[in-house]
This record gives sequence, C-alpha cells and structure tokens, in this order.
Amino acid sequence: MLAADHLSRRYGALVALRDLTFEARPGEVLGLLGPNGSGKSTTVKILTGLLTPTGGGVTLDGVDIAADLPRYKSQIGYVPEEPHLYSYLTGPEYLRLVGGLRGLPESRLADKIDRFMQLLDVYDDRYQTLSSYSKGMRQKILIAAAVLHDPRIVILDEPFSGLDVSAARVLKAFVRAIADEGKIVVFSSHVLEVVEQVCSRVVILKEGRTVGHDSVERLRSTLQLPSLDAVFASLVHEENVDSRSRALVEAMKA
Amino acid sequence: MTLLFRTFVTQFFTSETVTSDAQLRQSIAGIIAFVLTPGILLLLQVFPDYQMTVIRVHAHRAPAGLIDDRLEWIVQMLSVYSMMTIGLIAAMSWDALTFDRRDAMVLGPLPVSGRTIVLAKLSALAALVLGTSAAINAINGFLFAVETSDLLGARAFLLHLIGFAAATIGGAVMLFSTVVAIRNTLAVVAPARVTAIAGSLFQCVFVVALLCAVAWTPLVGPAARRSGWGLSRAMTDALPWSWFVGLFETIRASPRRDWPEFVMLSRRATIGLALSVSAAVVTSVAAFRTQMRAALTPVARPGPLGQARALRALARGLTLGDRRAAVVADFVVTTIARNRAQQSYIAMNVAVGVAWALIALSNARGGPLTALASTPFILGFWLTVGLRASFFAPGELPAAWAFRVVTFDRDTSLLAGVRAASFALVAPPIAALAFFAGGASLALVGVLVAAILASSLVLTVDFVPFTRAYEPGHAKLKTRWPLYLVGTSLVGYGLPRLPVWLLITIAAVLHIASRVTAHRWTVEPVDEEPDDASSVTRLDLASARGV
Repeated sequence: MLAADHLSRRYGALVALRDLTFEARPGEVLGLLGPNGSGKSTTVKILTGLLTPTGGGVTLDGVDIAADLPRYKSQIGYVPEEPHLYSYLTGPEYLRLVGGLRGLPESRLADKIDRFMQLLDVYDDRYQTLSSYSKGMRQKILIAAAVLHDPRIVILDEPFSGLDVSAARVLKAFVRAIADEGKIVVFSSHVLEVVEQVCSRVVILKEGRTVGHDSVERLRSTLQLPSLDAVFASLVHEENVDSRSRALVEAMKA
Repeated sequence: MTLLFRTFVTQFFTSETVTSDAQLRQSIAGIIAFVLTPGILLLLQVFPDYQMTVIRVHAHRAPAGLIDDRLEWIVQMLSVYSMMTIGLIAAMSWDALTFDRRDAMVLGPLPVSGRTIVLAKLSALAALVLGTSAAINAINGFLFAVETSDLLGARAFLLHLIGFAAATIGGAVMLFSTVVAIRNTLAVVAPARVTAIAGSLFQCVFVVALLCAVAWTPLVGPAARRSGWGLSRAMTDALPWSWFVGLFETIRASPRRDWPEFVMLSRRATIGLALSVSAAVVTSVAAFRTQMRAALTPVARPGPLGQARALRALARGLTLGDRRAAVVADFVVTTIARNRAQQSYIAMNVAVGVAWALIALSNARGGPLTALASTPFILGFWLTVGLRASFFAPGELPAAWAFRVVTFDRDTSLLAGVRAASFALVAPPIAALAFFAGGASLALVGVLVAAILASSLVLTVDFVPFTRAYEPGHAKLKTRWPLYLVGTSLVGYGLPRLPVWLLITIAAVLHIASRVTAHRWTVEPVDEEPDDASSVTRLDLASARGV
C-alpha cells in the first residue's frame, strides 16, 4: 500500500500542502481532484520521488520511500501533466531511452516498443520525430513510457489530455485493467466525468488540504448530491458559475 | 509594423539555452568582448607600421606613395575584420535571419499582411547589420581618421572617417546580405537539418577567419608582399574586401581614385553591395510564403545526418553491455547530431582549434610536416572543449524529467555512457586526421589521445549532459585561458610524442580515476529549492564591488 502520511510542502513562504494524509491500495484507482493551485501537482511530484516533502512522508508497504528512493523509483511509472518529450527523438527512440534507463534488455524492449506503438496507433509514425506528433500522440508515447517496465505503481497526471474519444475510451479501460492486475494507480485530473468513471476512491484537495476523501458513491450519498461534479462544487465552494461567465463576456466586450 | 520590427529585432538577441535575462546579457557581453578584441589587436599591429612609414617618407627615405599603400592595407585589414565579425554575428543569429515556426504560429492567424511582415523583417535585419557594424567600427574609424590625418587637417579627417566607414560598413553589409540570401535560399530548397548544419559551419568559418585575420595581418602586408610571403596583387584584388579599398580611395578623394585598378575596385564594391542587398531582399520576399508554409510543418524525420547511425552504434558498443550506459551514450550522440544549439558550441571551439592549427602551420619552424602531425591533436583538444561546452547547453530542459524520474544519483552508468559518447565523437576525427598526417601509427596515438581526452572530460562534469539550466561563463575564459593554452600545447605537442605504452597507462589511470569519481554524478532534482535559499535573498555586494 502507498500511503501519504501528514504530508506538507512549503516553497519559501508559500504553503503548497498541509498535513495531507491518504493511502492508495493495490487493485484500486485513487483519484486526486482539486482546483488549480490546490496542491495536486505537488502531491504527484512527491509521490513520484521528484520532490521531497518538508513535513511528513510517503511510505510503501510501511517503509519510508526516502530510505531507498532508487528502489522505489524503479517500481513506479509516471505520466506527467505536460507532455515534455525530447522532440528531436522519434517515438521508438524515446521509448528506448526510457526503457534502457529502466534497465530493460534490448531484445525485450524492441518487441515491447513495437507492440505499444501498434496498439496505440502510432506505429505508422515510428520514423517521425516527436516534434511532428500531435498532443494526443505525444500523450500515448508518455503512457507507453510509463508502463513499459510493468511498474507496481502507476501515477497519472491528466493522462488523457489531447487524446481523441476512442483512444481515451481504450485508455480509461486500460487504467482500470491495470488496477485489476493488482497495481496501485493514482490518477490526478480536472475532468470530473473521467475521474467518476475510472476511480474507485477520490481525494479532493483545496488550498493544500484534504476536503474530501472517500469512494465516489459514499461522497455522493453522504452529501446527498447527484454527481461528483456537484460534490466537487460543494466541497471546494466554487463560486457561481453563471455570474463568473457573465463577467467574462463583459470583459470581452469592454 | 513598429511592433513587429521590435519583435524581430528582439529575436536576434534571444536564446533558448539561457534561462534568464541576466544570463542572456552576460552571454551577449561575452560575445561583444570576443568580437571587439581582435579589432584592438589589429590596430596595435597596423598603426606602428604606418607611423614608421610616415617618418621614413618625411625623412625622404621612402617614396611618398608608400603612405597610400599603407593606408590601403590598413583599410583592407579592418574591412576584413568588419566583414568577418558581422559574418560571425549573422551566423550566430542564423535562425532569426528568416521566418521560423513560431513566427508562422503567431503571425499566421493575425490580420497582418505579408508585405508588412516582410518589411518589418527586412527593417530588423537592416537595423542589426547597420547597428552592429557601426558599433564595431566606430572606435577603429575614429582612431584611424585621427592617426592618418593629423598632419592633413579637418577635411582630411572627415574624408578619412567617411571613407573608412563606407569601406568597413559597406563590406559588412555586403557579407551580411549574402549570408541572409544564402539562409533564405537554403530555407526554401534544402532540408531543415542541412540548413541547421550550414549555420554551425558558417559560425566555424567566421571564427577561423577572424582569428586568422589577426594572426596573418603581418603576412599579407605590403612588406610581406614584396618579400614574396603574401598574396599577389591580382589575387587580393579579386577578394571582396579589396574592393572596398577602391571605394575608400574614391570617397577620400585621393589622387589614386582615377587609377584604373581603383576605379575597377570601387565599381566592384558598388555592384557587389547592390547585388547582395538585392539578393537578400528578393530571397526574403520570394521565400516568405514558402517559409511560412514550411515552418508550420516541423521536421518529421531526422534524415541521414541526424541519424548518425555509425557514431551511435560506436558509442553504444563502447559501453560493453551496460544497458543504461548505452542509452545515455546514444542520447548524448543523438542530441548533438540533431540540435544546432549543441553543434554551435562545438563549431565555435573547433574553429579556435582550426585557426590555431592553420597559424601553427604557417609559422612552422620545425617544418610543415611536424606542424601537420600536431594538427589532429590540437583539433581533438578543441573538439573536446567544445563538446564539454555543449554539455552545459540544455537540450529541451523540461524534458529532462525523464532522467530524474528514472535514473538515480551516484550511478556509474551515467558516467560510462557520457564517456563512451565523448570517445565516439572525438576519436574518429582525430584518428582519421592522424592517419592522413602520419599513417597508422599516428592514428593509433590519436585513438589513445581521444581516450585520454574522453576520460578527462568526464572528470570535469557530474551530470547527464543537456539536462541542466545554462550557466553563462562556466568556461571562465577570463581566468582559465592559461589552462586552455597549456591544454592545447600538452595535447597538441606533448602527448603525441610519448611512447604508446605510456599513453595506454595514462588512459588507464584516467579511466579508473573517472570511475572513482562516478559517485559525484547526480540527476538534478526538479523544482527543488531549499527553503532558506528561496525565502532569503542574499545580496553579494562584497564580490559585486570587484566587478
């Protein structure tokens, strides 16, 4: 089990996370929800080992990940929010780089890369550099790079951004399928409908704190609200959407 | 139009390798210092000779016409300097000389006519060439006019100043326009990677030319010409920088302005200038639509040059089965093969090596064969220096997370991969040149020296190349230039003379030493800032005072 234990993180005077506690269990998809600036990205970076918390810690099966970070890193796959890739490499070259750094043998890697490229419908573009890939194609490469080494933990930050409808449907099913394989999956997204479809439980963040942490069904029933969208609006106290949109139209016309 | 003009001018001074305005200003200051220094050195070389000539003529120990000869020589040398400097600046602004992908993305949807965009671009180019060439030649022109007209009065001062400005700035504009025309033509007809490599080659050529111009000034002077060392009159008259001497003589109303050869030179300068500017304008206008259309379609395939199959295979093979080292080596070679930012650093440093080797060859006391034998090693040293400099230039910095989320600190594979890549990039050119200069035995020495250089290089870095923000001035040329001099001498003249067994020993010792230091290697954490550093700003006034 992956557990965040009283996590906090400061950037100078700015407090990004305060006393955040949750756990992600094997076989389930844990959703991270929250408005911009709520601390989702900071949480994800701490969970991937890219950032160290200023308070609290992350444990895997009860062992602090900081005790053996290399071993922990070897067990995770990560799809970042922004599709930053080396644009002068081709798709297979990028996957070979990441797979090689993960220590996968070349013979196994070549076969895996071919299969991922074919299954993700980017095989025909295998000789093209990533600079010519669309955002959705880049996202597919990132997803392939994250799971290439069959990780135990998969951390996904807006993984379906830029994907077309059919690819997104396939990959939503894929995320659920890898959880069914007993993997730990953490899924951070703004898209509430996707979170509702994919995640078993959600952690809702606001200003670096947890304002809700439970299964989607229980949150809905507890708050007596019809959808995750309504639960989210209620917990993060979103201001009136209509008045904000009217103000935007007025700003446009001014 | 004004806004577009400003934007295009700003593009000449932006860089994707630096990450802040302060770093950019520091880099620009370094470039200005680099291009102004040869001008000062040239003045120091040519003026004493001119003063001696004037004294000799006034003492009736030399014909009066010798003063005009000297004046023409000075104008010619400083025109060369002006042209090579502006050529280097044009090569450094290579990508901004025409329209690029971002221009197409930003300007395409806006209601701005193509005519306005082209005019703004041409105006920005004109501002760049006139502004920089005026700045480069202002001090030289003033000193030249003062020095050469002190006995002739204010009118002569003014005519010499205007004539000098016309010759040097005219030469600079002609060369700059030619480079712009070539850049535009390549953008239309050549693949993008060929265009990028041409930019690095131009940079290399202009640095070599600039350094050689300073070093060879005495050789091509009138005295040298008489002694048979310099170029013949017919040859020098065919060179574009000589044409502007004719223009200088015409403008300063010299008695020689009516001599047929100066009339011919002046005419060549005028026609050459008009043709090159027209070519730049025509190619810019004609290529505009093609370039904007092409810019929206990014380079899709690496092409044969970008594939660098042989070098990548060599680099991977040298890692002896270490998978992680192999992919790091492959990453280093691929990045250099496909990125102009990295190639640019290598081109600049190799140019210094080429200039050094050419100057050494021309001054060879031990015979040209001895000097030729040291050439591969001098070039190898400067190639290694350039390679190291390129490691500090980030290649798509945001993408470096891929290393940080995967690789781990204190990993010997990182060092092994970088060393293999360095060797794969340095050894083939050294060995090939050494084979050409001295046969198989010298080629073997070349391979061993390359191994020494590669191991030495990885001793001076501790991170995966291209994955850190650029730090201007990390080369510390101001303080470390003796080190570069010693390095050139040691590698160029010392190592090739050592017996092979000793070279093998040195290579082995350095190899082991680099493995021992592998624990220093780290992957920089992302967004990680110690709280004390981010919350407290320390003003280092004590050290600032010394600047």
